[in-house]
Amino acid sequence: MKTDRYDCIVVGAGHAGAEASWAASRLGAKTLLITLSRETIAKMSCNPAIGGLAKGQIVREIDALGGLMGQAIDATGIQFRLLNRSKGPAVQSPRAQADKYKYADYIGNRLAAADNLTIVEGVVADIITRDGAVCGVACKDGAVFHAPAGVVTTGTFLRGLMHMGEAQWEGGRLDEPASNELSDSLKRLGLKLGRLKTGTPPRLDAATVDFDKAEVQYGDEEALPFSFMTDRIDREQVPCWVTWTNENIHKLLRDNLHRAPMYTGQIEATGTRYCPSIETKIVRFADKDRHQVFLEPEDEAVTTIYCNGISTSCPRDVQERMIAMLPGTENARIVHYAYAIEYDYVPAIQLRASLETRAVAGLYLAGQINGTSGYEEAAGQGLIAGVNAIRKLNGADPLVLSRDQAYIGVLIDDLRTKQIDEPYRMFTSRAEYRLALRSDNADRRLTRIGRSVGLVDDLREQRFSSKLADIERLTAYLKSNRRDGKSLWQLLKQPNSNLPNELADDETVKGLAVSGDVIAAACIDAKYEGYLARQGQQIAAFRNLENIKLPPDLDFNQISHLRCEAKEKLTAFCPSTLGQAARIGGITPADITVIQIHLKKHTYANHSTHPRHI
Amino acid sequence: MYDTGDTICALSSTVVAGNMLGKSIIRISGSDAIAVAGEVFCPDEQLRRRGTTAGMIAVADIEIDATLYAFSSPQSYTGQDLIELHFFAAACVVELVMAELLAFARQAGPGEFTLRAYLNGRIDLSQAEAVAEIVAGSNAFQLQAAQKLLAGKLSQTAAKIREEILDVLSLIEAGLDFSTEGITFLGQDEATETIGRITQALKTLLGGSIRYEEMIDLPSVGLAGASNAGKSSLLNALLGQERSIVSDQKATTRDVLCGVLELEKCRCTLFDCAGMGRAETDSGLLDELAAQTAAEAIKAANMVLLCVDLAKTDFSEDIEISRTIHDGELVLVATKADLLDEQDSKRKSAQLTELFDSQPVLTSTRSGRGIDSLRALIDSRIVRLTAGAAEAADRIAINQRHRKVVAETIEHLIAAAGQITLGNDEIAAMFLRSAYEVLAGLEKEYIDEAVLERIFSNFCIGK
Repeated sequence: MKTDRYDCIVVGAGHAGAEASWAASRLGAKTLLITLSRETIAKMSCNPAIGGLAKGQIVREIDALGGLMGQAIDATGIQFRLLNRSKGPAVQSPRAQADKYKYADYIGNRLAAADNLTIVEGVVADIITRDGAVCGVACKDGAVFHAPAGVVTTGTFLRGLMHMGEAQWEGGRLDEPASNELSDSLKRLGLKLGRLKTGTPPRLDAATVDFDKAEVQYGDEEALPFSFMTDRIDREQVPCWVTWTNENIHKLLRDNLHRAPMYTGQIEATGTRYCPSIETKIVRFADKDRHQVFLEPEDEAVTTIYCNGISTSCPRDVQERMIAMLPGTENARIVHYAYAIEYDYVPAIQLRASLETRAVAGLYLAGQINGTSGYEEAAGQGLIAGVNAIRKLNGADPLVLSRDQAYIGVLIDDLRTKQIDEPYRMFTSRAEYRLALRSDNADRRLTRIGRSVGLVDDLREQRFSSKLADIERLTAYLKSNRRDGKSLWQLLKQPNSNLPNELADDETVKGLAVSGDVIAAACIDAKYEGYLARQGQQIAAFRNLENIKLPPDLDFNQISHLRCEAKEKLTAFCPSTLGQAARIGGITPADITVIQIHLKKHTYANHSTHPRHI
Repeated sequence: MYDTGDTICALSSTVVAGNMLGKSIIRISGSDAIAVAGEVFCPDEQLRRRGTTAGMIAVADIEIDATLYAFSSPQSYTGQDLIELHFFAAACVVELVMAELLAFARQAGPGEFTLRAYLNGRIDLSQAEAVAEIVAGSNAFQLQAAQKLLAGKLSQTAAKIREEILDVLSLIEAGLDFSTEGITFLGQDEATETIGRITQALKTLLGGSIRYEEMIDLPSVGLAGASNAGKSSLLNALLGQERSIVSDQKATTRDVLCGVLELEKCRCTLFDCAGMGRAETDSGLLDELAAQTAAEAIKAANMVLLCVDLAKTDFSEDIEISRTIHDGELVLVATKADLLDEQDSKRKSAQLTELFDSQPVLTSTRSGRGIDSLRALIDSRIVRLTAGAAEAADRIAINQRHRKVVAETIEHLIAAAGQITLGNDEIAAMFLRSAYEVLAGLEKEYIDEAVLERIFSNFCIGK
């Protein structure tokens, strides 16, 4: 029997596991990454793209903190676009198509080369604990690994059940086995599991697609990098294509609804509202005569095509007929058929803000297992879980990003205070302090935090410091130079000002030798200055409640006058701050006041001789 | 900071001066309320958990008749066990009773009963404020307005507008988060138009609302008469279904207030000027303060209904009372007309006309006789007196804080519309969120302790 000792074991090497193991090892901890196969490290099991609205901000945050995802997509992206370009900078997000094979290779290579990190192949079947704390994992083949910290990032593998029409079979992903043992193991540890579903569209052999029949869509002329460490991307970009479904396809799907597990009741778990299957679309939006289908290359050489927009649980023959009716793909060969998958997840209200489970000390969960959707959401959690697993070993306070600091903070806070009934995906509207949580300023929000926890290396720190200095110099110049009686800074606040475009060619600005990033940052700062000040006041108010920490041993059932429903909710969600308690659905302001009063009473009881009766 | 776990006690709604007798109400709220009350109250029968128990209060060597009203948790006003002790006693005795009770319960702070009602989810914030207004308001119309708040009319209006804001906001958010879907969720013009419409609705709310101060000028009708003249019955008959909550809660508010009279053309406030004339209680002692308050109310009234018991023979007391009322405002109302036959009625009516130099309206609350014509008479007189005041009653009364909230919401909405025109949807969304949140503050706020204590310190003790 193989045994070994580590500081931290990461189970699963998807996007969460990759960042978790990278972060843990970067913090100097002896880390073990266990994956089903080295081949599937950072595999893009669904959409071959990184970023997108709100998700792009998360990637920038991961990068600013010292994570891998930003650099990986910069190195392997085949088409880059800045979304919402016509809208304000706060809601602009980078998105890129990836060569999914190169992307996975890139991450795999970075992890393989990382200090302190060992990668083994294996199927983890059990989490071993002692006295309520994790102490290792046991694999199916009998191998046992010991560590006082573990991060479980098993994605959709827990009791994964795949559906394709009438057919269903156990599996965690296409051609990969499900993990039923680990699911049982988590249950034994006292964790409650829920069930979610997601789906994928068919993939086509690109050589058999007639792209001339579809509308071509190019990337941005100048590719904007995700990583603050990337200067520019010179790679030639690959186009995508758009085609549309038609009435014939809709009829086909309608006629075959009884064969779609979504509708037959074969799939019991909840699906997503934001990414519905094509059969759901034609039922829910029956008046729409066509739906967009993006034909997205999965690699630089364009060998396979991902049909973004027609994820389905329909059987093979329906998929084939649908593809045969879709303009451009009439003669296309399906390489991988679409499927839907149901899987176990662990409702994240069972986690602490550090992503550690409340049930088992030292056991952290990250990614789809927590009920999220998307590579970016998974990676963000992975990084936080990896950092916190090691910080706990070192006796340090956990890294908890606040809602006003990062989308990652919003994400984890939402998971812990909201009832999740569909895979959670990030949107910019989830961030109430959106103007402050931008893609352009992710480094200014988080690099110093990444530095303080030990993830940000010297090179990134130096780069960041010099960028900060540049922004300061440029800002000083803009504030002190006037045109038409107004400072340039003030002029930048005017709507539709062309000044941002002129600045790059301005002789004095050239003399300052600042980068385009720096100019953009200063212009956004000027535009949003007044509004950010407003938002600053809201943030200050938000922090008032957020700063009131609830004692970890607080028994809500012992608080007199708290409504029964409130007691139940609070006990279930176990908020760590009063602000979090206030955000839990069904908790009223009166409940919060009662808790406040209780806390105050507690303080009186402990620290003063305040008379009970006058 | 308030503790909500212990049992509190306070004296409320009493009209007592010097050693005169007056009605006192002592309220006790908390899990020990019944036990605390038991320290001073001896029931005639088994003390019931719910309802009314007659008995006596015994302190030192003194024994006073008293009635105990028990309201059990969670249906009581405070959501806790709540006891009210009603009794007539001189001020020094009341003090003695309180002193005895305070050995077992804590003296309530200002507004603490309402605070508990709020914390226990019995009322929302704007309702709590409405209660504050009831207590603070000396004019019956303020009371009416306050009751509208209680009924949640402002809350309802605000809730409807909030929904509309949320609708626009969500469409704008959709435009930001799902711009790649190729759908236009909300056109710029449509967005600004909708926001404009919401803004207008709020402006109307502001314009159509009355300040509490303004209501002091609204018409009022006083009910005068000797005791046992049938004032209460007449009052109930006049107010009918529209009768306000206040008089239901016997003597829990100022003795002079009764309610709002809903008439066909107008509304007016109806005062019961108890305490006028001779002895109201068996003790024969008259509460000077109550009499004074009543006299002031009569003086301020636009119209006074002088109730005279048609069945009695000696009208000297009634004549005495009529002298305190200006002629132009007096309406003579003969009550209990059903006790006499038609002939006697006619005779007495003629006698009264001569005595008071005014023809009485014959009424009977039992048969309903004369009630409608009295209502019609009041209606036409008041309308003549105060042309244009009619529609005022239907407006929503808004206090200073609500006014500020609505004005601030309008400000945010205008800013939002402006940002949409500039194409800055993300900034517009921020303003819309602010508008929503500010307006939500009418009933729902994350109130920190300071704000909370400020609101509730505006309350009198005990409601």
